[in-house]
Amino acid sequence: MTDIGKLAGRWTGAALRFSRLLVIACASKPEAPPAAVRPAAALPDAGHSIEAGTETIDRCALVATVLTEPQPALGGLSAIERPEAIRAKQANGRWVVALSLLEPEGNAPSSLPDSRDCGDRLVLASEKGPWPANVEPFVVGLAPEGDSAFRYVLVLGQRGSSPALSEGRLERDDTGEWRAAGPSKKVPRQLDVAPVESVLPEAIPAGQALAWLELDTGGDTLSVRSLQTGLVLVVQFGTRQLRQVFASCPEGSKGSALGNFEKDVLDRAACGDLFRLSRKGSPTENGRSGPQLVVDKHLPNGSWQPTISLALPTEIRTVRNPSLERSRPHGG
Amino acid sequence: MADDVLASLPPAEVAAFYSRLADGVDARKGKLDVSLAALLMRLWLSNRNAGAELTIDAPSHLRTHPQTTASLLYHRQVFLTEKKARLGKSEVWAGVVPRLQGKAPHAKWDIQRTISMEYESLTEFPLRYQLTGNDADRDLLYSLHGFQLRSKVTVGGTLMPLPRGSRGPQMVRINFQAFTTEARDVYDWNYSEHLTVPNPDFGSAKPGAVARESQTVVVYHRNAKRIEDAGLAAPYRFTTKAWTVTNVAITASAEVDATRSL
Repeated sequence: MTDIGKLAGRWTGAALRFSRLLVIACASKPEAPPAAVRPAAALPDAGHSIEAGTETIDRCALVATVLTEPQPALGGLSAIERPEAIRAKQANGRWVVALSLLEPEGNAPSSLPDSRDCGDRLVLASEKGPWPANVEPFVVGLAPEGDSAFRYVLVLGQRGSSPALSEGRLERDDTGEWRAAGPSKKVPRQLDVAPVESVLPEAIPAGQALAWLELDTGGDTLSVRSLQTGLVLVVQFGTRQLRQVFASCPEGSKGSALGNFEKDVLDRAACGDLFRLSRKGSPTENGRSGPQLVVDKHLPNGSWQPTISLALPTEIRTVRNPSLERSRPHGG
Repeated sequence: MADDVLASLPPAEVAAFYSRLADGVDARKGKLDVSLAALLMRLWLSNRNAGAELTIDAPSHLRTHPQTTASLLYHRQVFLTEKKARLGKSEVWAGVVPRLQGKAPHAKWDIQRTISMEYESLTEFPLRYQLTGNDADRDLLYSLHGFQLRSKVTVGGTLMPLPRGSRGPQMVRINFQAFTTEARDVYDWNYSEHLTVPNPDFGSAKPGAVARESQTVVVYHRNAKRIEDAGLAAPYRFTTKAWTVTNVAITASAEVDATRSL
């Protein structure tokens, strides 16, 4: 049997033994206090032996048990898409929580009272070790989110590689039962239907405009929620700045590595689709109007579809991307 | 919310609480040289220009963090056309090989001179760090969470000689002559969110202490808006000073197949 196969086998056994543990911990002794309390959150060191059952960290004393079927991939483990049922009880002011893949969704018999007494704390739950040096045990984290929901983070994986990480919400449904809402998705960023104007502290020299595409990763300061990245058109002239978030995506990228900036192309960025910012027209070609800024979206057939068109004032004679100019001395 | 301990305080006192919060974060920075979370919060409290673009030093725990290294390795692979650049819905080949082939929208590169390229992509410190992370992990999660890492490289190319009579692919050795990177992010809040944090006023006997009997408090970010509306803080964009990437696993030369089908 390969190492992976052995590992999968170990997890199979662990899961089955864990099933029995759940019955003891939750069904027979729901009021049982947590097995241990530690002051700081940390994964056990490689080879560290955790007593079968649960290990609770910090004051909140959540107790969690994870039941999972053996996962075939990821070196014997794979991402848990979502726990399908959650059981939770409060005992002596402490939480007893169980997440299970073995139960049909919605089969969560108990309700969670107000969660406010319980901070965002970590629970480790693991089969008895020692574990191979490269394997992390189960990690379950629950953080209260609003009045009637928890955010959960479930980690299962190998050290030194991307863990199988599942995040989601536990929330009460119309019947009062708690359900796993599934892996969290990043919240889409709100798009602007038109540019939002602000005043620059220093004016751009007369006759000039600056324009570029910017990836906005803000809005997540001290946040437990992930926001999508926004793609923003930024234009500055005079003392005016126009910013328009026109695309939202889980992950954005940009830069000349995606393609050269041929004549009149000011910037190139990817956010769901590939976009380019270019200038069209000039005062010398059309004496009555200023240059146009156009954001085009790349279509699967190779053509470009205009997405945003912005007419600049007639006095604007040059439009440039300041970042692009800085990167041009060596060509490329 | 009944547990919004800052709701009844005037903005100036809320700002003072955030300042103590930053001090508390700084005091718990552990082995870190600097707490980026504390530094950025103090910059937010001292900033009065919502359009400000600030430059900060990149702390060593950001420069050396495995998540940063992983992103830089990905950037290297994009520059070398070993991995596709992620567009979101799809991926696209980028970097040197399309340039060696002159494949639009890449201009043909004849390797007679060096070329410069930029690439930036998202780097995220995962939420699990609040549960499993060390001092550096948590500091970067609470200060940056998701940010753009922008790398700039200058590369030169050398044709590798084909063995006599060989019909093998034309290989080109790519040398990174410069490799710098910087982090970019926005420090602003989602005003509809909240977070439980250690209470900097726990056990404090000082006047104005907030919820002094509680070890933790729930901080609702709508209070951040109250501070900003009162002109006592302002969101800002920031960039770290660029640093030179010296990890040879990222900057080592490599051979690429110039004739590879993309």
